[in-house]
Amino acid sequence: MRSSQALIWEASEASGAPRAATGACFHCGQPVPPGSAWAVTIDGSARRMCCPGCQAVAESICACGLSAFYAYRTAVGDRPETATSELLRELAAYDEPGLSGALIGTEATGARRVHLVLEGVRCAACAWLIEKRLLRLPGVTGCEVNYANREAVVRWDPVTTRLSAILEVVRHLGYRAYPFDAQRRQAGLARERTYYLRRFGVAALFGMQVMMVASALYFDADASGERQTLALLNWLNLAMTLPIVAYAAQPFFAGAWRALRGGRPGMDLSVALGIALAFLGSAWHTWTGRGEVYFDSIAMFVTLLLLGRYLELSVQQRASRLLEGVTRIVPSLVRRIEGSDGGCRLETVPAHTVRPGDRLLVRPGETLTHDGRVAAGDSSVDESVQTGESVPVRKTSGQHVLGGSINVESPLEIEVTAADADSFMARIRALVAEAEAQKPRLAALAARIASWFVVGVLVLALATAVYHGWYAGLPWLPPTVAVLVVSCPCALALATPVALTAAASALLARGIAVLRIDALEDLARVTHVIFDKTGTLTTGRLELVAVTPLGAMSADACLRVAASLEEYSEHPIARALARLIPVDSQLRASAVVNTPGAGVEGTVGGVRYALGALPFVRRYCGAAIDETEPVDTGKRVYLAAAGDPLALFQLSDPLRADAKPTVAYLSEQGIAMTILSGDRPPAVAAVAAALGIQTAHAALRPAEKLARLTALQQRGEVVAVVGDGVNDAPMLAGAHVAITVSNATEHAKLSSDLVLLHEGLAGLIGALRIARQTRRIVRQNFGWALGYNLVALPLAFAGAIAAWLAAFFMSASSLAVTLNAARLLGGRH
Amino acid sequence: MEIIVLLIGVSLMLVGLIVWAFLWAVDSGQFDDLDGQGMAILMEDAKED
Repeated sequence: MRSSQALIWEASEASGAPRAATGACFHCGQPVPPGSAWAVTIDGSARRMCCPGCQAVAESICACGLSAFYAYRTAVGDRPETATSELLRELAAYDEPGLSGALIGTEATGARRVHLVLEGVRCAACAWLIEKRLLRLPGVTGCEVNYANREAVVRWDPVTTRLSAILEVVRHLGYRAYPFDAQRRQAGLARERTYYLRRFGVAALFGMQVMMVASALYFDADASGERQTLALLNWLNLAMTLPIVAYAAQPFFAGAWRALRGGRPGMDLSVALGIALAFLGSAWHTWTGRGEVYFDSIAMFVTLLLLGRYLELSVQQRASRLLEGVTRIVPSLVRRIEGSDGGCRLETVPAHTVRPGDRLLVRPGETLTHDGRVAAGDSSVDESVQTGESVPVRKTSGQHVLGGSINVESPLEIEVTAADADSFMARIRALVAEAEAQKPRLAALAARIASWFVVGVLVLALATAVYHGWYAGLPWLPPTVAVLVVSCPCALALATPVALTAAASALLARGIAVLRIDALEDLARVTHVIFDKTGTLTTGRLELVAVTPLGAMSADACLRVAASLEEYSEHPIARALARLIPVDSQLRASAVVNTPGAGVEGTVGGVRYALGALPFVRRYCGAAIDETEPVDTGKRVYLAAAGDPLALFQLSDPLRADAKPTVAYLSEQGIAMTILSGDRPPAVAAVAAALGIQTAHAALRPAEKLARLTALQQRGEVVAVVGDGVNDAPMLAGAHVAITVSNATEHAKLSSDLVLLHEGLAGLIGALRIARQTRRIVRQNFGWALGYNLVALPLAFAGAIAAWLAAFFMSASSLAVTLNAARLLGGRH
Repeated sequence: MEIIVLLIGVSLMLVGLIVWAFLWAVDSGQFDDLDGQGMAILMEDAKED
């Protein structure tokens, strides 16, 4: 008898739940570097890991007895970030008393309470893992994780533990948690869902009762039943339809009212008029005891349309939740240097209280909060916020630095030169806001059709009333109501939303989050795609490409020495070297001296080594290294011991593996492409040549990128921009369709239209295919709805359609449209 | 056939009750996290083994 755990594990294996392919990390699914030896024994079998980070997380999970997580997860997790001292400092800031106010509540028992938003949660098993783990932390008195929202509520005893300890535990599991202001975030999303769900429930429940009574009445088609019974049943139907019209149909009446006030007729107007006239007409007929009643049609209408809206909302909210990190509050504190040379002290103050002329201390790993000039210190700074290039630039006394850039190597004392409002980041924000405001909007097909269709139907209804009532002297209400009911605003109102919703759902299943659903229609019409280079076409991380031994030591031994020397450095070169091999404790470096922008020296195993750029190493070991021509598109780092060159490491920012196929596909589809980058010309030219893209511009500032985009748009092109938000935020804001990659900044992701959730660019191909398929289906739906109307309306005008037949046609039509849209969910495209 | 009047009355009351229960469920968050709660049951069971 196998345990249920084993049974479920087998079932998930059979169903194709993610398993590590041989050669893929068991925890995060990334490829395992050849020759590495990280592994963890989970439930009796040894599982390979790709890096010390994944290994640490897996060990942590097993140590707590929570290895069932691996059996139940339905998606692989992210590769965890390495815990750095900068991270621990960031977490410690959450314990500052001044910060607690808005975020941390206190309960009657004295326990503290915080709402956290979670990042990295990929499936329900992750939520379970976090909840169980936190509950075991001493001092935590309660924890509930809501998987759907990616939120958690944690209660703890302030005497036993701190908030930073709780956040650290979550990090050790491989996720990130941020406190947020519960009021603000929950309010909007939850309210909308509740609104539509309540109304749908009421419409469906009462609708079922109405259909039940109406079905009985269908058997009495020739109206030969007892008058009293008939009257009773009609009144009953009236009473049960009242809540539907008065409560459930509110969104349509509200929308119609807005449309009227704005002067543009929309789908809601047609629907609202149909409902109103059908109800009033049926009420009149019930009162007078003669004529057709349409209560069943109204119930059907409202229920189906509300269902459509609820599903649309649900998919969109699911997509945006997957992006996490909404309005999280990261404390922005800085260390200000007070006093003069005699008696300096550091004060920690909120960033917004800093004024020009203040002096700030920025430690390695911290982000600069203000523009300024270096007063003291010698370090290098990551300026990707302006150039997109993350290889740090050397900064010494007197040089300018920008707010938003990251200090990499050693502490800097900065004199602030610009107030917050004039800073570089503030200018970027202003550019983004301006670009968004002037963003060109393409009119949606549905909106265009809606207007003239609605007007057309109203005119026809009027004509029907006039013809029957005045011209032919017959009862005018029944045919008029028939015209409005049968014209099926239902199919037309559903034609587009249901297709877009199905498309968004299909895309979500493929790892593409659609944040603005209309973007799908725009994407189908795209004529030009602009790519950012660093972080988008390339991975944005420096990687080791080749190791060439120059002396007696083997490549592997040289790599180990290099990793030991760079163990504590945050420099991208250090990370590239140190990532591949674990640091052997016997080879730990001592007496490490770091020269910013040049290199590092240290003693490993009793021998003094130097690792760095050519000039630095040459100074150290003499002129024994060949001078080959400098390669602009990569970095060369040399290792030497006294007098002897030992190795050459070549690093570069590699092109993504799927960049070439994606570019090839787009070019096959006849879409023009351009690269706009902030990096230096040789690097950009090399990438353009490798991908076969003719047009590429380099050394562009964010404002210049936006200007080129606008020029293209003014020529009439429909432009999609693919970027990572680091120095292309204004360009993303102004594009017809903004697409961000998985490693983009949180802010860029949230304000873009489509987010590629999986690492890489391949998602773009699927997105374009589905967008075009959606456009075809929307056109088919409209074709059907209009064709149907062309047949049904004349019949209704002639008074030839009975109430029940009208309802039947209408529901069949809506069903056809919905089923057609559902094709987007299943098939291959 | 007058029994129908009574039956209609009863069923109306029943419908009212059901609608009230549904609205209560929506408001108290019963529909908020369908996936997570569903999985939680499975995972708790296995752990007890």
